[in-house]
Amino acid sequence: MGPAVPGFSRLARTVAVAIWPAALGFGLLSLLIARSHPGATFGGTSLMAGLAELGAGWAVIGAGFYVWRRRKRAGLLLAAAGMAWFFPEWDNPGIGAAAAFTFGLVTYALAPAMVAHAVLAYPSGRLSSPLDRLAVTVAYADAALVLGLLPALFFSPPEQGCSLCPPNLLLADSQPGLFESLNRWGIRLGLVWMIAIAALCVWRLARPGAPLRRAAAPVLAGGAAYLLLAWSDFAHSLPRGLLGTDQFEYRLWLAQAAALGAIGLGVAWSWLLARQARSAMAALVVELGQSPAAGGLREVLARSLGDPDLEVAYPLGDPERLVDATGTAVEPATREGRAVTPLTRQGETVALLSHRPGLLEDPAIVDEVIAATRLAVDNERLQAEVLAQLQELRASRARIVTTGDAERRRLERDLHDGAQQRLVGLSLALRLARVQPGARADPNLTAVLDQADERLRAAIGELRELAHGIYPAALADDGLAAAVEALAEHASIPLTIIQMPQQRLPDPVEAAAYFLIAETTGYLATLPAAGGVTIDVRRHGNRLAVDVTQNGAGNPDRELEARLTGLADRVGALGGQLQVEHVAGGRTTIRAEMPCGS
Amino acid sequence: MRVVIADDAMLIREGTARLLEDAGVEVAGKAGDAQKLLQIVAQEHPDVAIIDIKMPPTHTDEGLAAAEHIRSFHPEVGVLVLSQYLESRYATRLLQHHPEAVGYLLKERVSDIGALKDAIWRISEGECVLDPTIVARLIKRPRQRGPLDELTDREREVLALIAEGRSNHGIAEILVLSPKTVEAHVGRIMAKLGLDDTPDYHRRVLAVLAFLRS
Repeated sequence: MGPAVPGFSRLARTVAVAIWPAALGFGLLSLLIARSHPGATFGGTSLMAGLAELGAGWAVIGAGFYVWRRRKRAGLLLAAAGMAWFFPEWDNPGIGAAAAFTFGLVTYALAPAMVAHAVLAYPSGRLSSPLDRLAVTVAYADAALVLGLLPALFFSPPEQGCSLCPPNLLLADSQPGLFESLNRWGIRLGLVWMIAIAALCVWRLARPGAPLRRAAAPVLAGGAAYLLLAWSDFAHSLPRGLLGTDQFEYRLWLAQAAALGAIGLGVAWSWLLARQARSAMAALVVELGQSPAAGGLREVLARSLGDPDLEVAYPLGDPERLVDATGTAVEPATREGRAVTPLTRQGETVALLSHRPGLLEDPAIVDEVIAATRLAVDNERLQAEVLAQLQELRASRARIVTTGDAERRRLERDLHDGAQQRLVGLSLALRLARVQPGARADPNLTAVLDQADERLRAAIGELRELAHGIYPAALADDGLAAAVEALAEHASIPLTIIQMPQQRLPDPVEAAAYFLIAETTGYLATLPAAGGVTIDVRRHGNRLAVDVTQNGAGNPDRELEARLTGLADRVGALGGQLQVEHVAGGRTTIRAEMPCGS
Repeated sequence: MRVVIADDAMLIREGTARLLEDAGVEVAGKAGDAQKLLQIVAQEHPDVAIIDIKMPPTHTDEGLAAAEHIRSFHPEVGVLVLSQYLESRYATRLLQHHPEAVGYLLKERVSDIGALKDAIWRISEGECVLDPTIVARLIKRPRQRGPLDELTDREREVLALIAEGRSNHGIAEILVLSPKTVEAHVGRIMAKLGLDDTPDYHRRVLAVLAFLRS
């Protein structure tokens, strides 16, 4: 059985390939028949008419051939419709052969029904709704039976005015009356289904958001135009009771040829588009092979698909969470006027593309994108995941620092508003006790009270320094510049402030800068031979640079390193960096650089 | 002498009032917040309002804002702000806008009835008052070598009293010197620091403070 199948399929392939020259040849043959007896139909009347007939039929057959390579049924339906366009030539009296003449008698009105079928079934080749199937069934019944087979049974050419015609092989009984009324009913029925199918085509064109609409649009539009023209022909023929060949119908026929030609051109156009997309895909494969850079996939896809705003998002574990290549959270679905297409592999969404609507309508292109980007998507997704984790970590560090600062601030307020107030109250109470007449009379008691008050004042002073060290009120109320000024009043070595940003910065940034300055100056003051310290805080765009420089001698030691670790954590939590520059025996600069908002 | 007292801590408010009354000062009203204070000031027109810097609702600088308001709308009423903070910036903020008849003392001075009375009297005379602890810290503050190092000890004493807001007459009394000697000291100090020896008392205080803070 094994070898038989390839043999069969080779035969099938040969037959399939042979169909197409045969179909084209069929058109040529039909034209020759038309030329042999020019009066009977339009195709033979002039060279132009002949070319129009051949061009229209071949255009649809050609479109069928192109479609057939991907979708067999749809292609064959189109090809059949193209061939049916030539059928009216076959009931030509000059055809000679009776069989051919009889074939023409039965099929001459088939073309509109077959075009309607091919158009409604495009591009899948199948009629998708019951309404479509009903309309096409009615069309075939009308064209093949009411206008074709049934009248042929009662048509005797010599008795009904065609002495030159070959014999009608199907003739059962010559009944001119029945022949005529069948034709009239066929035309009436045709008026109904043609308008219905044309309306179906127009409705499908106008329906928003349908997938593949763009690909099917030229076929639907051409088909609707063709059916409306055929409808006009039928309407024109109704009073006569027969489809005829007068001058007006000749023009309608030419227009029908143009409509069919448009179907062919439309399919050719979508073929060109697809080719473009394919060459874009080829370029994509080459580019991805060359440079797998971070964020690069977006660039490459944007370039090769021709959408500069294209974005790539990667789902992280939880499908609700999407990040871009840098690990930053994004929400592609919420952007207005953008479409989102998932790239799925084995049922799992590996990435989402946010793009111009319509760009990725063809599932074939999406498949090619998935295939071409497989490696790059995997790489970038892993990288995005790591970067997202890094960002989360940084955010959590920043939260820890912020919480710590809030706690310090609360503590400072509690000390000021609670403990310190109470001590002041106590001091007042002592004073009131001291001025009591009883106390004034006793010098010992007065001395004790005075001593207690003195200690109380010292405690108040110490508490004040403690609170200030925990979180200076100036920092919270008036910002970095005020806090550093206050620090300069406190410090035990001279602080020279070169520059300070005068506008407020985000709280965590101000706190990081302040504690860096306070801690390092506090430490530098303890060094032997400590000279003055220079403080320079500058804003460069959205970065803040904090420089604390000691000009005197003194080498940074372990103690400084230990103090800087905590500060480096604080600065790092904000996405900044801390470094120490030391010139041996000379200047030491502690420099922090961190983002400070926009 | 009539004063009003504003402090949200009842214990301190009442204690201060009793101490002052014992010392012969009439307490015309007591307030727990800035709004009540402004009401009382408008009704009672006291000589001086004693105001805690931290008051409801935010407990930051409501007292300072109320003091500025009183100086602007009731120029005949002097203000004495009591504060927990040693930093000179609140004091400077207060003095800069209205250097006349204002004072800034540390909170714990309320129990030092002598200092409190002295401050109230000076403020009611239109002088300005700055806490000696704050001034001392400003003068002692470490700095690079400069004109301050040129001053003699006596001159430093005089400088501190100028910064505390004392008039030449007051300085003479405290140091037990003749007014002429004090005048000479002041002239030398101002020359050494490179400041204009302005006869305007308030401008002199501000100039000295600005020098010390820089």
